Amino acid sequence: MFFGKKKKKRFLSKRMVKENETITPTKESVIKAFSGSEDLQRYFYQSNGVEVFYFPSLVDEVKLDEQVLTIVGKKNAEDIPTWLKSLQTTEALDGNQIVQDILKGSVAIFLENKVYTYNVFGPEFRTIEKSELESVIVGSHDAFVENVNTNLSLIRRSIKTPNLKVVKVQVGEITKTEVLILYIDGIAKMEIVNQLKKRIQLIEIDGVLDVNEMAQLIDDSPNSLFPQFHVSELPSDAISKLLSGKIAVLMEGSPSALTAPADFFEFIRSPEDYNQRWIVASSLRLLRVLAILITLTFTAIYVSVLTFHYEMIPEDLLITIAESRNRVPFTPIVEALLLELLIELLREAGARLPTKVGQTIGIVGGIVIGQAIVAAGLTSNILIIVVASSAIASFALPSYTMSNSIRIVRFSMIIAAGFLGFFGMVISMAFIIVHITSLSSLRTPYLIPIAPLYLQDWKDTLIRGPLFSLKKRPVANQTYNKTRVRMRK
Amino acid sequence: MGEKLHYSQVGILVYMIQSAVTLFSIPRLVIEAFGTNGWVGIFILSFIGVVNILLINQVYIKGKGQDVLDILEENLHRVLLYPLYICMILMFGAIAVFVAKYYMFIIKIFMFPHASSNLLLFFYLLLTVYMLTKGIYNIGKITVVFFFLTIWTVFLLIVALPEFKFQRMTPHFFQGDLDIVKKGIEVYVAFLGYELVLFLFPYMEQNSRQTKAILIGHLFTTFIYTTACIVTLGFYGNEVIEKIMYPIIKQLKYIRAPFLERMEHLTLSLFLIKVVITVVMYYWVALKISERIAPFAKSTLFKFVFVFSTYFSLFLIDVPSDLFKVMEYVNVPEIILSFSLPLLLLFFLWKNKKKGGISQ
Repeated sequence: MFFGKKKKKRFLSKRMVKENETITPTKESVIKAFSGSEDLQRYFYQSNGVEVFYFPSLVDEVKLDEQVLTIVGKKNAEDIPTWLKSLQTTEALDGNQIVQDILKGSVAIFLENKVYTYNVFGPEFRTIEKSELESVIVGSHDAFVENVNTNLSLIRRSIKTPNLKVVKVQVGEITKTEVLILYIDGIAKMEIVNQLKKRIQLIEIDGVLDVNEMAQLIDDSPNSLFPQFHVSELPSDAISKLLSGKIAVLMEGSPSALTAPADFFEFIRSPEDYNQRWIVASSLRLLRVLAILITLTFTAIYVSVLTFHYEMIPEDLLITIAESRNRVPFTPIVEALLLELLIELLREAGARLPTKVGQTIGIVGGIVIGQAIVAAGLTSNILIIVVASSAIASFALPSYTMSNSIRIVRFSMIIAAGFLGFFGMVISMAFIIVHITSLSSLRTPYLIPIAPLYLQDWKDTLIRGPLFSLKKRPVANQTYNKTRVRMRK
Repeated sequence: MGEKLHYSQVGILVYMIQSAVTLFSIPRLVIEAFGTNGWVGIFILSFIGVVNILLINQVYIKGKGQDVLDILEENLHRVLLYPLYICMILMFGAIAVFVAKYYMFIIKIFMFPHASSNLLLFFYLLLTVYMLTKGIYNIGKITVVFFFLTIWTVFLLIVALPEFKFQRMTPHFFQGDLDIVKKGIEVYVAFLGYELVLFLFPYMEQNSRQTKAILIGHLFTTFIYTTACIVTLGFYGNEVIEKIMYPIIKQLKYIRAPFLERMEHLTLSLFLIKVVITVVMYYWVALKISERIAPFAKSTLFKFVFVFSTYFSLFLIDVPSDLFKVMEYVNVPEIILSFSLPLLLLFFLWKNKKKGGISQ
């Protein structure tokens, strides 16, 4: 009553082309739509009166030249309709559709008062290379690229079944980015597929440029620090997820695939785990769990022990620590935060700079500053070991996004430890656990199979059980077809 | 995923609600209550608990998982119902804050002798409110995670085994100055918590394994208590235990790792997440009953106000002995309620069935 109905926000200004309206397919309407776009290429053939429009940046020049431009130049006006028929082009009846086709890499062919569009899309793309972000030692090295069709082909060439379904959705009112939702019919649960599709369709934004950005627009808890969808650059990861009953999402321009629903333990799994012997893979997974614990607690334990519980340190070690700290003028929390901040700065600088300079930063930071800061009496040697160990441990996680989240939350534990020792540390940890446990991904509990408890899935959670024992697909995926492996008798 | 409490969650929940602060002092309490080899008394008390659980189970079966508050509302007039509700709200709220405050006293004694227990309790209750805002299904999930994070501490008892000597134990049973009623009640209170399952019925998955899970949860608590008592008895002997306020914590002091010793600080802190489940569940039940009187009790603000009003009610209590005196006022009513409420509900269900039969 007191508040008027909110006006729906306009994404497009009045000056912009009204794309949903049908307009007459005339040359003038196309020229008007692209007025100011000087990269639009126009060719007029005086011999037959044909005019072609296209964007050179979006087309395959060779294909365009061989299949359209050269032939049009040689043909008479009477032969053009027959030739267009042989090209299997259709006459465009809507001016806006022509504009959209040109933007998607088609060439528009104007003949008298008729318009035809022919797809010659083929801009330059990065070739398939190794992933920079997720390195694999044993297993396929292919990584996704920015071209959605190449990415789709990377998946299709491995999953040769007509049951691999692809749903096309468009995201972004202005960018009109193509999004592909992939699932295996008969394995993935349709309710989840439809839910994901609905969420993507409901996105109202001018443009989405990456699948990671889209993930934040469709997750269950947008304010959470933790990623709720798993994003990977590795096709092998997306393929294994599809086979397990999950859904994969590819996006034009994004070299990653999003998989859903995701659980916390997915972020400590690496596709490589399945290529290793199961005992080796299990040991590596447990090592990663230990890495999370070290990242979260190492510095916090140092701070709480030295601030409140020094009676916990054995006598011999206490002398070493006391000697190491005798010149340090700060309290352990100030000392720890100072060094943690420095390490984070080094990491960020190393990540942003080119590889060669990045290495120099590592050397400068690690050796020069590390040595100097101890010599200057600003921190103790022990703390350098503690902070460096927790920083190294944080990089042991296969997921970069999860690694970042964990590094941020550990600051809350360090601060809590500085104020209330172990008590504060555990309170802070409890807050984190309560938060993580109440998270969900497409309404699937984030900590499944631990909370809620599904013991049968523990074989592929903290450890990677033998392949013959992983007979069932995870409960979290709520798949229609639960059996994965049927062992020969 | 279907949002219902799985029977495994219910079983773990029962254990986590039961096993709280009393665990630290139970070896002493059983000796004070039952004398030499007092741990045998745990089985007797546990059996009483089993009988109570079977009564609660009858309510579950006869009522077909119906909400007990609905049963009460159908059969009691508001004049009787609301005072009963208010009594229950006050009692469960008081138990919650007593457990939390008692735990804060232990933390203060062993870890922060100069800190204020009220300050520690403030942070602790913030965590409690945060958990309460997450709802019962998430609390169920959190309980499972907390269970796995704390259960390994049981194995710390193994560290005491090299010091365990059978000579310290005695072949005599139930000898010495016995205080079966007063101290027996204190030990029995350590088993209480399962009665909260009554209020979980509408949230539980309809499964015949639920009863088994509740019983397993209860028997697991019995196992933990008994093991703790036996190991401590072999570690200290009867006479020494009687003189130690918290024998389990003292035992933890002997644990040494290459980098850390005096592990009681770490274990005591970790115990925080175990005790918080007891505290949260009592508050949750109190708030759930409050919702029946005032619908606004569902709001986060009310949860915050309710929890912190109980906090302020104990603000002036600064020493554990004062707290024990106040706690005695709720121990007996709690035991009475844990038996009488299921009996009352069974009576109502029987009456309703009879009425239904006649009307048919």
